[in-house]
Amino acid sequence: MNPLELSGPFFLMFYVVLVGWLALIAWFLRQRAELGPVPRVDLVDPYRLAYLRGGRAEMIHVAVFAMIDRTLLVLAQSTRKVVAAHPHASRAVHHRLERDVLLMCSQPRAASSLAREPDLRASGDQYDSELRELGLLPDRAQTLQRLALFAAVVAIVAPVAGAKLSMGVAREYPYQLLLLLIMVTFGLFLRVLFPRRTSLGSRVLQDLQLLVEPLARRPLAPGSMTGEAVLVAALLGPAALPETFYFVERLLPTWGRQSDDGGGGGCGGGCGGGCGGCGS
Amino acid sequence: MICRDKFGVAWRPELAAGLLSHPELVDVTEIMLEHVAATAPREQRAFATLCAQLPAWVHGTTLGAAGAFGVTDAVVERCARIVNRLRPAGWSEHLAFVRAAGVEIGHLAAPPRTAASAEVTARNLRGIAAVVGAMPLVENVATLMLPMGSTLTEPQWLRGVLELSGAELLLDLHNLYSNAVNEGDDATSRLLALPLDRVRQVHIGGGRWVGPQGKQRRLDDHLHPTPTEVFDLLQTLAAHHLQPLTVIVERDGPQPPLAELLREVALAREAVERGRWCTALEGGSARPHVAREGWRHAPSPAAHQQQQALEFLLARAFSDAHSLEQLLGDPRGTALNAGLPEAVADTLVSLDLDGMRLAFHSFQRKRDRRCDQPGASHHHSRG
Repeated sequence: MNPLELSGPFFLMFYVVLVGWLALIAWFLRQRAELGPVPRVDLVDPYRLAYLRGGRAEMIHVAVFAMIDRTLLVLAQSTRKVVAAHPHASRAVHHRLERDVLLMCSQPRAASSLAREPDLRASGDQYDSELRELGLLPDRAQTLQRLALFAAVVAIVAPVAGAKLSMGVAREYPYQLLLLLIMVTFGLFLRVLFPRRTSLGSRVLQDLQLLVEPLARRPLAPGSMTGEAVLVAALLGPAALPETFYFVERLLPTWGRQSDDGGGGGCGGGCGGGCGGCGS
Repeated sequence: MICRDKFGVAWRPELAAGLLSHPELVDVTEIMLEHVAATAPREQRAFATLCAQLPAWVHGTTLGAAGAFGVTDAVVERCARIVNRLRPAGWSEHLAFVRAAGVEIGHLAAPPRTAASAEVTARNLRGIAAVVGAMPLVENVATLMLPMGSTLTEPQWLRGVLELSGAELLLDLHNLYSNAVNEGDDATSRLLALPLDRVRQVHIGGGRWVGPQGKQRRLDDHLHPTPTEVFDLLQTLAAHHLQPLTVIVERDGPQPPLAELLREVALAREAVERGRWCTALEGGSARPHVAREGWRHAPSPAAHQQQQALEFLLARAFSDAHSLEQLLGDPRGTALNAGLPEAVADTLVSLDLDGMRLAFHSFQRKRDRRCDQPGASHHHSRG
């Protein structure tokens, strides 16, 4: 039976099933190609993890959060502008990103504008190449693999969709729905085949999120556990921190409540468990 | 001296972000096998990722490797699945029995220290290693009294297990200290009587004193800071042990701030360094000579049955108040009814009544505590 001869609704059903199967197969093949042994990630630098989760903007948000928590940056009461706590604050930090942010904040400026600052690109670029080397972000070879998969699924779908579309146009049938479906199809393939992280990157991020999630539920206070709080912010997003971090609530509207696209999830009672002593 | 000692803290959910954000502060961590087993596959995968980030040991509590009735296949297979999934630096288990002929104690109990139990423990360990693919480090357990029916000292029994199985020792110094105190022995002498060249890893933790004044005993509960005596033992161990050591601080219950545990890690580092310096100043190994026992015999079937009967009596007494009172009221008669020979039954006349009662209540508390913990219904607490 020639599917092109199917009447409108039946062809659309056939088309949706075909596209669904192809998306599933493409997703599976991409997963298989991109998963591998879990690499050792440098956890000491939380900005690398923030970059993995949400890119340059999230990296800068977490840096701003960390420096407000350490009182190196001050958030103005009403304007949502940040400014270095004192003129030489940048000398108190060693991390390049922190130093650059502090230098940019020598005068009050909107926290949201920092993410667009080209001078802060360097730190992000460094993380970007490191994460690509670790296989957590797609490198050139993986991008080519993705393109090849995309070309393959398009090569299957395009002739079918194109032929039916041209038939519809020639016979003056309504073809708008099919046209819409074709556009959705390409959007779906792009989403399935070109996520920002590799499958391995998403897996590592989700696993680390699961491990630190219990801390996000604990009563953390600003300034008391900066290292832990920054790790939570880097992995789960500043929005995951408790309300005691009042400045996050004030900054979030300017940042947007971005969460990662890989999904975090709960850890039930937390990963770890307790014991009770050996023996009687 | 070229050696690299490692120091770490046992993994608990509350410590996760602290340990991950400061991985430079610890060299190693330890994950509870039973907790991993109780989690969903996705969380087990997270633990595997953790093992790739931070050297981690998997620590089991439910095998009952020292049980005369053998180990349960399903428990061993579960253990093998977890170890193979997580690919840790290694794994460890306790030299305890946790069940006997279907009676679950709900916690780790020290077996009667006899030649038969050493042999059966070694046999269990060889079987476990064959399934899991790696021999576990084996940990000495704490006991509030000399285990009923014992004919060997703790060092003799441990040496027997290690020689017969080929396993290496995970030495819990607070357990050793508690046992020495509870059995009226000197902890340092007991430590030096161990085959120290077989010690690979060390646990340190705390406990508390229980029982009436003047008859107090040391209970290992891991709820308290590590006492000075344990750090002294660690120093002594380091002075007599030339191989690299891995020292892990264990704390259960509500976790203190990570900084408090890291202080204990720092104290452990200092104790080991002091011990190493003592050895260096003395010009080499100060390891005392401990004669090998020559464990080559296999116990007779009768000795094995006797061991099973002893463990069954103990398991019932530790898990059921009526059975405990029955045993304490007529130890000899109860032992004879259980099929033990007269010679063994006669030794039970001097049974440690206070110790048995304290042990029962300790097990009871631990069972109750576990029942109160959501989602913790089926794994034994440990150390």
